Amino acid sequence: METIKINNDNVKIILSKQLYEKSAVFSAMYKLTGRCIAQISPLGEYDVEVTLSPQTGSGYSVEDIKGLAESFLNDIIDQQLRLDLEKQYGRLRELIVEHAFTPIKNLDQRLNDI
Amino acid sequence: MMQKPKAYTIFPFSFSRTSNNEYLLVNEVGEFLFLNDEEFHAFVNQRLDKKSNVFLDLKGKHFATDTDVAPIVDLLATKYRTKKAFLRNFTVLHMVVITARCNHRCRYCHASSESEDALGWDMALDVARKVVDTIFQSPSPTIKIEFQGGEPLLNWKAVREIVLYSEKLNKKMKKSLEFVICTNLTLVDREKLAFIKEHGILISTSLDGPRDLHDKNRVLRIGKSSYALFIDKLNLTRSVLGHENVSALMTTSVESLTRMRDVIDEYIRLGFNGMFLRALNPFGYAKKDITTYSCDDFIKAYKEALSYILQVNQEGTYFEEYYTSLLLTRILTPYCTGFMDLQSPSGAGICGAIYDRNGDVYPSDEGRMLAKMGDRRFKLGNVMRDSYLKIFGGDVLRELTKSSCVETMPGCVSCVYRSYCGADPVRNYVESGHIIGNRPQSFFCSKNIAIFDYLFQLLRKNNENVINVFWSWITKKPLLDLKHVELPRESS
Repeated sequence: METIKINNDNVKIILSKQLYEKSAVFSAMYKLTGRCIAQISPLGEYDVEVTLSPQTGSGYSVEDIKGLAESFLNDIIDQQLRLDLEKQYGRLRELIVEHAFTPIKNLDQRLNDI
Repeated sequence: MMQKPKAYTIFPFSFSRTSNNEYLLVNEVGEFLFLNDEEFHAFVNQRLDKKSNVFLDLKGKHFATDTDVAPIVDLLATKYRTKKAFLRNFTVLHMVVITARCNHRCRYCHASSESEDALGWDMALDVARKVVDTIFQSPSPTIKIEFQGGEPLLNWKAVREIVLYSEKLNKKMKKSLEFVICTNLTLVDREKLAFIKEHGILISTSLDGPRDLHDKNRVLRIGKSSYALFIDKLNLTRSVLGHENVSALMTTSVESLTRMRDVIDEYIRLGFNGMFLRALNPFGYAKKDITTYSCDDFIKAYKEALSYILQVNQEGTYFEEYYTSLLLTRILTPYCTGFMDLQSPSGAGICGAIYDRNGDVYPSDEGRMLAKMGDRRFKLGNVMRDSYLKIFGGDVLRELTKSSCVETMPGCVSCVYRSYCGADPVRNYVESGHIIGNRPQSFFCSKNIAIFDYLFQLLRKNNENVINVFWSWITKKPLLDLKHVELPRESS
């Protein structure tokens, strides 16, 4: 579960490490670069805290940052889902690309190994 | 606890939420589907009824299968290879900067040209021949030599030399050989046109719109209107070469943004059957100008222009927007398309290369411009000193190619449009100081995402009149010719 806290000069989001992998958090944060300052820090054993604050001269208010935080929360779900799906079919993707350029003779066997 | 067996196998795909609270799914080979929220989550969680229409659609487009996996992998691999066919032949397009001199001083010129009477800015004939020797070592069975400048006609003897020497070499090499001269046309005369016609050379020229707009952007160095001269020479060129051998490109200056209808009307009035809506690149004189409009400004103008172009087509005039047409071909067909600025890996160097007047070779014109501004990091080599293998097999091109696969680049890797898109590492370098770039702050990326978003909105609406125009562009057939053809439709 995640919680969101709106302060005077920033928005803080607490994310559970059990739900979201580091890679998903970073991918969602990457999209915010240039629009706000995004910081991440560990919070105890099971959580991380993401702090979003306006960049100097960006013209963004904390209210705007709240909007970005809401997009971030949606995006992080999608990013985690991408990682979960990648675990299912990532090897298939590699096989498709390999087979496209260097046809695999024992394709059935390679598929069985996945 | 034993894991429950999967109901079906899911194949790789990218996805994104759309503004309609749906999901757009695109697979590795560019096939796409829209699913609503419930369908999407049922699909990814293996809860979809295998007899449902949704599952059958997903299966039909190779997002999933409940039968043997190997034949689908085989099929997807074949389609993937087809989509990446541009990799097969290596460099096809060879752009030759025949001179840096120009009789224009266009306000957005990224070539930062020299004056018409400047000395020492032309390609020498021995360099020109060496350029051709290098070009003909490309393994590609198709070679396209494009003369650029400056104004290429100011160094006509080098143009002639390259054409004649290429044809001589090609008697032995037997490649498919094509020439294009990118010219402002103002220096063409009957003698040059006779040579151009004899050798089947195509003409690509520049037209920015009606007289006032064209004259504002494209200024003759002597200060006179370039428009009147352009029209005279366009008519002369067409009378000798035929209408179809002359095409034109426009560049979107800040003034053009609000004048798109006028620009389109001018193109149609002059008998062109399409235009390419191009934003400015941040090089040369344009670097100053591009800061005057944002990506949002360009996209607003693009949408208005496209809407008007669609209307013009529906009223019976075939008129294509070439960039839209290119993207639609990638979205709606299994085929590979050219366009080195939007390939993955980047087409810079491996699809096209540019030879400067002194024989220096660059992967793109932007790389050459950077060198002119003092940064030579993209120089691949020099035809007078370096072998073909050193130029095209060296570290610079290897680094560019391996760093420009959208399949692995940050931001691109999770982008739903990845299968249709590409990277421009030189542009990234200019924008961010690094060839990987920063997607959230990239004009290039924002522009392409906004265009894809808009095109997918139109495809989702599935308006018959709009879709028919799209297919007429893809098939290069007027709308009336498609009247009785059954066109493929995206299922709703």
